[in-house]
Amino acid sequence: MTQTIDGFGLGLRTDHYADFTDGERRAVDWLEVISENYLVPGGKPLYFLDRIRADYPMVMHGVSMSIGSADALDLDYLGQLKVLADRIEPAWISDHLCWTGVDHANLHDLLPLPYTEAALRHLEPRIAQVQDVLGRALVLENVSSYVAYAADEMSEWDFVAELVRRAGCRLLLDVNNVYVSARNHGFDPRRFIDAVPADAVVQIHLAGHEDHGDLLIDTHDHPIRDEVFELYAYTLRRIGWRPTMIERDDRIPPLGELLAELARVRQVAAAAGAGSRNAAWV
Amino acid sequence: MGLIELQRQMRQAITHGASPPALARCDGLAVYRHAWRSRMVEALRNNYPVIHRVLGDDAFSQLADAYLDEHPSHFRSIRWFGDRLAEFVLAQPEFVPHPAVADMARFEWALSLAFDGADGRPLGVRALAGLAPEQWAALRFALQPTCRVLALEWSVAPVWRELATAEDPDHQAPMPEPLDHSVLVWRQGLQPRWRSLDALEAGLLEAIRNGLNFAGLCALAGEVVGEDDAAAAVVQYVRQWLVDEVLADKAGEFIRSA
Repeated sequence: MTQTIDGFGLGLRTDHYADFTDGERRAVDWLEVISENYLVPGGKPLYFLDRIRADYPMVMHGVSMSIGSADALDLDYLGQLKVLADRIEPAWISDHLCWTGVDHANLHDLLPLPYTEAALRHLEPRIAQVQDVLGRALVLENVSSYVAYAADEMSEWDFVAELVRRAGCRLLLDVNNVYVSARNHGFDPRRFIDAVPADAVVQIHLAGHEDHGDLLIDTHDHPIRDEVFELYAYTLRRIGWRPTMIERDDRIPPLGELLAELARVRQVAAAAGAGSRNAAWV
Repeated sequence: MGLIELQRQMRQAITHGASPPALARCDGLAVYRHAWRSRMVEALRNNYPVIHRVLGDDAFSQLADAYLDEHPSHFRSIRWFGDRLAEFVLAQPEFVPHPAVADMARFEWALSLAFDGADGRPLGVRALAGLAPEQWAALRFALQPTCRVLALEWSVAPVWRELATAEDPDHQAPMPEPLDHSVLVWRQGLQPRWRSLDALEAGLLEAIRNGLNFAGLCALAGEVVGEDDAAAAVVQYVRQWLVDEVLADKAGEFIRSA
C-alpha cells in the first residue's frame, strides 16, 4: 500500500501525540516523522506511531544517513530504516544532502559538503546503494550552511542539479534553508530556486530561523518569516505545487498554533496559483 | 584536499577548536561548535533528567563535557548517547558530588531502556489456572524483554522518585544512604516501572533468566524459607509477577514446556 501524499503537512512531535490520538480529525493532510525517533525496539514511540499512522499518511525523514560522509554507509542503519518503512509504508524516505560525522563519530549535525566534482563522484554510488537497499528513490534535502569551503568548484544549486541528473535521487526542497544559506553566503535565493530540477522535487519544507543580521541560523524554533513565505510563493510559481509542511523542532507550540500557521501556508499557496494539487510523486 | 581530510579537519574544528579546512566564510564555524556541544549536553540531560537535577546546570555541563571527550557519540540516533555514564562517573568520581550518582545513573538509564525496550506479551493469570499439579515441576517461565534486575549499593530509587516528581525545580532531596539491594526495572504496558526486591525474589528472577524450571526455583527458595514452604513462597512471587506483567508469554512456548 504505497500511498501518495498531497496537501499540507506537519512534522509529528511527541508534544502533539495526544492531539493526534483523541479521535478528532485535525486540519493536516499528512505527517512527516523523524525516522531515528522510531528506530527503537518498542514502547511508546512505536505505539503512538502505529496509532497515528492508522489515521494519517506519512513520510519518513532521517537525520543520520550521512550520505556525504567519507565513512562507508551504515548498512545496519539502512536495514533498520527498511524495517520501519515496511511498518508504516511512507510515501517516501528522505534525509539530508550533508555529512553528520567521520571516522564513525557522529556529530549529530547536518554539515555541508564541498561542492566539488569529487563530492559528486563520491555521492553517486552511495545514493545508488541506498536506493538499492530501500527499494525506492532516495529523497535528499538541501541544508542550511554557515560556512563555505574554499574548495568549492560550483554553486550549491549547480551541485544539486548535477547530483539529481547523475544519481536519479529526488529532492526535498527546504525553502527556509535556501533563504538562510542565500543570506549567509550572499547569493540571490531565487537563483537557487530557478536552477533546481523541478521534476525531482517531491516535497517542500518551511520553518523559522533566527536573523542575526550578518548570520542567519536555522533554528526551527520560530514561526516562518515573511521573507520565507515570499520565497515559497516564488518557488510555487516557478516549479508548481508540491506537498508542503512546517518543521518545528524547538519551543514547540500547541498544535492549534501550528495549524493556524499551516492555514497561512495554504493561503500563500492558493495566492501563488497552486490550485492544481496533483501528487508530484507516486 | 580529499573529502576525508576535509571532514576530519572540520570535525576537529567543531569538537576541539582546531583549525578548520580553508573556508570562504569562517565566522559560521562558531555556530557549529556551539550547536554541537549544546545538542550533546541536552541529549545527555534528556536521558538523565534526575542526574541533572542532582548536579545542577553547571556541574552537569562539566560532567557532560568530560563525558563527551571520553565517549563521543558513535550512534546513529542521539537517543543512545550516554549509555556509559555510570561507568564514567565510577572512573571519574571528581565530576560528581556523591558516589551514589553512579547507581543513580544506572537506575535512570535502566528506566530509559524500559521506556522504549522491546514489546512483549505478558503471561496472563489464566495461563497457570489450567495446569495439573504434576505439570508444575517442569514449568519454565520467561521474563518480559524489558525486565532488568539492578544490584545497587545506594538507596537511590526513593530519592530519584522524589526529584522526578517534585514540582519545584529547586526542590532539595536527601542524599541516598548506603544500602546493598536489588531493584527490578521493567515496563508494564507503556509505563516504565520499578520496585525494590528482597534477596530471594532477585535470586528467583535471575534463576528464571538462567532457565531454571519451577522445581529449580523451589529448591532455591527452600534454602531461604525451608523445603516445606518453598513451593508456596515461589507461587506467591509468581502471583505478584503475573499482576505486574513481569512474565512473558512467549508465543505458546510456556504452554509447551509445561
